[in-house]
Amino acid sequence: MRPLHAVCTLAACLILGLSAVARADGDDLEIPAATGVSDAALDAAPVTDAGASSSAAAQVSPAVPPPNATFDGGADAAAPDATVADAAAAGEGFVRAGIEPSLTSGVSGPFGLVFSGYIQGQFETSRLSEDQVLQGQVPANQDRFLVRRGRLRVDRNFQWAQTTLEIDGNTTRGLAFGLRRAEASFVYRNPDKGAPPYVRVTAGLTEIPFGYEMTDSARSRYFMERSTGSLALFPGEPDVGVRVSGGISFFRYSLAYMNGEPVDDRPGRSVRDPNAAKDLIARVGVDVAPRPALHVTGGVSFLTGRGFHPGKDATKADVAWRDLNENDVIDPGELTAVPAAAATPSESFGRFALGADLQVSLTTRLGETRLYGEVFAAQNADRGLFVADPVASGSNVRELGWYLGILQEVTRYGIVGFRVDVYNPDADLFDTRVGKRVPASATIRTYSPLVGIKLPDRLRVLFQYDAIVDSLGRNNVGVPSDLANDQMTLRVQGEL
Amino acid sequence: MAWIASTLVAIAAAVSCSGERATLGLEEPIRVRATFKEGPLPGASPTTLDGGPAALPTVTAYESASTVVRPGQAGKVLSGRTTPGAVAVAVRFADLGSGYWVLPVGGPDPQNGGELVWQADADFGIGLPPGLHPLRVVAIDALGNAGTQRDLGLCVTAAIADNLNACNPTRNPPAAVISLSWDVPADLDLVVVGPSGRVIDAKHPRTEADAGADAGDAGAAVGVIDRDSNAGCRADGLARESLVFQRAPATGSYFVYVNLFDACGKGPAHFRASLVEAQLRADGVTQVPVETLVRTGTLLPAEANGGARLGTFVFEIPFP
Repeated sequence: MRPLHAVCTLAACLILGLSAVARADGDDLEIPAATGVSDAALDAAPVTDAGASSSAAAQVSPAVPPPNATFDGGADAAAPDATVADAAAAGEGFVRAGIEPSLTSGVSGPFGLVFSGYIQGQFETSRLSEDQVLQGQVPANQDRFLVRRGRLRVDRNFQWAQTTLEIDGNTTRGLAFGLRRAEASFVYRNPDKGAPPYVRVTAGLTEIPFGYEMTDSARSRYFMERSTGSLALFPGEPDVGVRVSGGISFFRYSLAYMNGEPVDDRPGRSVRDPNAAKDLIARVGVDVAPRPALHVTGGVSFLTGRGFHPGKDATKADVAWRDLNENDVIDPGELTAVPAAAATPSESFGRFALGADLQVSLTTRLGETRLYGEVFAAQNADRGLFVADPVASGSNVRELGWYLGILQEVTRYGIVGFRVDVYNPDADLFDTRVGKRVPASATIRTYSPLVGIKLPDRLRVLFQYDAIVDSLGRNNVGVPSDLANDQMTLRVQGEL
Repeated sequence: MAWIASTLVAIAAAVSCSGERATLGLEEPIRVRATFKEGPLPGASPTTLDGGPAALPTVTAYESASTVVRPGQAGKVLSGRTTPGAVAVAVRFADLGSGYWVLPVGGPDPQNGGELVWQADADFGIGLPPGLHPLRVVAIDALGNAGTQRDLGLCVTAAIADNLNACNPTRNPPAAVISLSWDVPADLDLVVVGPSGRVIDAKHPRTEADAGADAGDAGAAVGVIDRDSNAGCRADGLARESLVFQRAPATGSYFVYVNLFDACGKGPAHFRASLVEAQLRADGVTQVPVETLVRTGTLLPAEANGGARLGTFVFEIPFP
């Protein structure tokens, strides 16, 4: 229970400590539409729910610039295009999120719709790659070009409502298109410009509000993917359900009731909810700017729900041949009756996760420095990597993980970063040595240096190396050791 | 920025290129559900007169249900015991492959003085060359020290029936074998029209209807198709059918066809038809199978006919 205790202590310190320095005028995580205008006006000048553009944010919150206002040049940055520039100049709704600082959020279109999107094409290579096929004809080659994400999003905003539809196409596991986000929201807005709504009630396919990475857009994230632990607990960012979120002053909250089957943007995994039980997920946190150049956010999250162990189908009687003497001939005693078996019932099992996250960004003349991290402890919550099934394994599976990342802007055109993430999918793992069970570690550590160049609001070229240290290999005496599975990725991301 | 990038590259270089390589080993002649390591088998050769220090771990027992292996055979069980100091055993062919497989040993066997038991499930490559090949194992201790290697002589049979001639040259191969192989899990059939006009195929596998035990020596000249490969689209991993004549076939011309019974949803099938005949070795006594005729071709899925036709004519064999 020590990890859980540590998480609780960290969470308490985080809230107490940050509350002391909290300032209401630092609430710029999300900028609502021009508050007080009519639905008709909003309809004509829609905004997204993603936050505010540099220009708009500077107008509505002059005392405290948005945390990322200078991340890509901020208010000084050239307007991405005429449509966006016009909208921003008119104080209308071209907006972008504080956590999505460097990219254009969208272009206003007809009927009050706002269109946005991006494409991530990349070349990736792994030391695990082989020119072979696995059982089932799945290629083992991992050195390839692919479209990791190709997303198109449409938003429409009203005074009291908000609707978003986003689709994704990729070639990660073959050509696939799917729904990435489909949500409708009731919004009770904060009259203070720049402040998040008091209440937003969202239904549909929407974000899972657990920690920081889950709500950090893949569009703005520099690292190629979420950390290993996050990918294990949540194979996809969105899930279907309802969510209540908002903010008052420095306080942020989000509570969701969802299927508990995160939708992976890579095809191949069923997202049909197999049981009636739903996941309850919540995050409470703070968002403060103690100094104009310093921005701090953080929070604690929890998840509780029930996983599903599927039962087995009934089988018919059969006959099996085992060639005991390996002569390719059926001899007496080699035919075995396999009796029919009844179906087995399915079972549900409890799971939970508890996490804490903290992000600090400091803007200097060099550019923005962002330091952020997250820690979690969970039980039976791995749904994507070493899928936890305590019914099959006979005991609960405890997962632990954390990551720490740092990003440093180098003027408007460069970025370097480093992230270390650690994930232990089974804190109680045992291995067998000479017939004896001995404690073993399943911990996966990933060290990810990153370097990139960018044209603000236009294009990014990023290179990331993932040095993975784990115990998935076997050394020359058969003992678990590090597997040679490092990988590297070169990505080009373009904005629509 | 340059120094930052340099630092990152240095860090990446420091942590990269480490770890144990993990290959599926599908190109190896033997595959064991264990970890593959490239290179020669550690330990002392079994021909070494000095067994080495007594403290080194040793394989004390090494056995298998059969010493005959068919190319492409799966799930062959190898088992044995080691001295108590071992933590793993390594296995590879002495003369084939590029590395060895390491698998941990199991618990002690109280019936054999606490020696440690081990068991490996081995698969063999479809391209395994026929003949005798020693399968070598060695025990390894926790420090990586290996003892003296131990051999199990395996006879790898030929893909085309040879009566184990590849392992024992004193055994004569069949007088003639007409063989058909292909590359996809489709249902192809070897069809041969004999001198009497009789059609021999998987449904009628004998060149003469009632020849057999009652036919005496003449019965040995009867050709038999050995199997119906991939019948009913159930892939057997062999994709090969052969008409085997243990003695010289009846005189006359044999017309060989290849028929696509069912494409099984697969693409074009590339086939190879051949005639293998027994010929005398230089010693003038023993025989060796020699491929004397080969034809290759392709069948398109549209040619599948469910056995309604003889199929594509390949060649004519005029046996004297």
